[in-house]
Amino acid sequence: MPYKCNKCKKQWMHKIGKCIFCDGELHEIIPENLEVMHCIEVNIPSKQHPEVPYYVLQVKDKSGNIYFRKSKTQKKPGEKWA
Amino acid sequence: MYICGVGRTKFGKLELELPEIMTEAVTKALIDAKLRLKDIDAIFISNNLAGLNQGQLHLNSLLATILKIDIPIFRLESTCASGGATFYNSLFSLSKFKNILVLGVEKMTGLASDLLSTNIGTTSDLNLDQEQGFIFPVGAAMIIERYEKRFGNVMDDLALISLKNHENGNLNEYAHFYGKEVTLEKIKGSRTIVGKLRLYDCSPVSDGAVALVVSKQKRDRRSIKIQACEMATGPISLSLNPRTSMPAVKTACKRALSSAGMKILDMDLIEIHDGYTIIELITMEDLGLCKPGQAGKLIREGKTKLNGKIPINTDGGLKANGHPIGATGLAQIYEIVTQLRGEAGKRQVNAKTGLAHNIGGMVGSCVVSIFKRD
Repeated sequence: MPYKCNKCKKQWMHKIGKCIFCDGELHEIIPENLEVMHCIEVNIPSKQHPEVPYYVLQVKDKSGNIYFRKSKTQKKPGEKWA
Repeated sequence: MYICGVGRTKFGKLELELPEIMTEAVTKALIDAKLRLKDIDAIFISNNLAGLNQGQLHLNSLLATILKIDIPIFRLESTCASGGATFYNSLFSLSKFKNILVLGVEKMTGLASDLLSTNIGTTSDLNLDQEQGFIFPVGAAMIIERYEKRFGNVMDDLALISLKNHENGNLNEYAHFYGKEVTLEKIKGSRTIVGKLRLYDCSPVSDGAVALVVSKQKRDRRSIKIQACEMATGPISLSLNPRTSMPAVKTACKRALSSAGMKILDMDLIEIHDGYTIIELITMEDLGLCKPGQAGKLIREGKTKLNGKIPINTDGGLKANGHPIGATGLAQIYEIVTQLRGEAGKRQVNAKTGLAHNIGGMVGSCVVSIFKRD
């Protein structure tokens, strides 16, 4: 993710097959050069994430797409995320 | 279209299972409407998590079994906006039916907290959110970070929101926190659970039910007019909206005000979906009560208190009234109807119009409803 239409350039974060607007082929973009914007410490365990604390990062790529990423360690805004 | 009857249970940790919770609300609403079960043509049920929490789906058939009826009954789900969305859907049926019942119900207590947290989390995106450890308090904490980056410190204003809602909740005998004193010191001193989000910035885990009788025609002087009800949807993940403003809220509000032929400042009271205090703050801006970054000023000036210019969450909001997910949107309508009827007792405000704002996710669905006393 994301998936971008080769023809009309519309973008999705979910794999949907073909572009629903122009029927064009979609290619997957691999996020690169991610930079941390915010880091949130989580102290509430859940079945999927039982060990706390953990951290949820808001990161962005060079195109401005935003993602959430789980981290076991705290990160500072501006740090790079691989 | 009119609300002709309302009924609800207390919200909180109830020693009751789903059948009893549903029956109490339904019975009270019918009594309030002075109608019998045979006068009801269809029922719409709002519920989010009974399938996961109790292992119970097919609530429409369960209710038919309990009430010993065979009329059309539907269950709808739109996470925390289930109540508003169910209410919205039900109104279309009044072209066919004369009187309908809208019932919202949820049982959230009695589960291990990590299981409940997981179940609630299923309403966020599986890949974008759940796999990344995103649970809804993370979203609220993230919005606080974004807001403070743009407008500066907001935590003191959030504490005032929590305090106001607890003060109002202590005037509402049905509220989850009724009878529990919550001071500003307690709010500010409460432990942080996620990011900067404190325990007392978050609505509680509650059980409860609310039922409304909705009729095509006005039945008596206590019937309250449904002036408008509109819905908008939005992105399922907060990662798809980088701002602190929620497009679905702005769109639903714009549609509702347009349908009603009214302006936001025509509203005498507003019920805002304060799952977290930060949501009440940013919603004040999204509804157009003030410009971005200015909600704190209204809060500090007391404008949203019971005796303020725009009372918000007179029943205590989700923060103090409680948040049994499927019932929440209908509880907001219950409060507005009670206020417009002049039956709110010690928390009564001077009101002829009211607006309910009910959201799901952050913000994946939003329903805005407007009510008016004829």
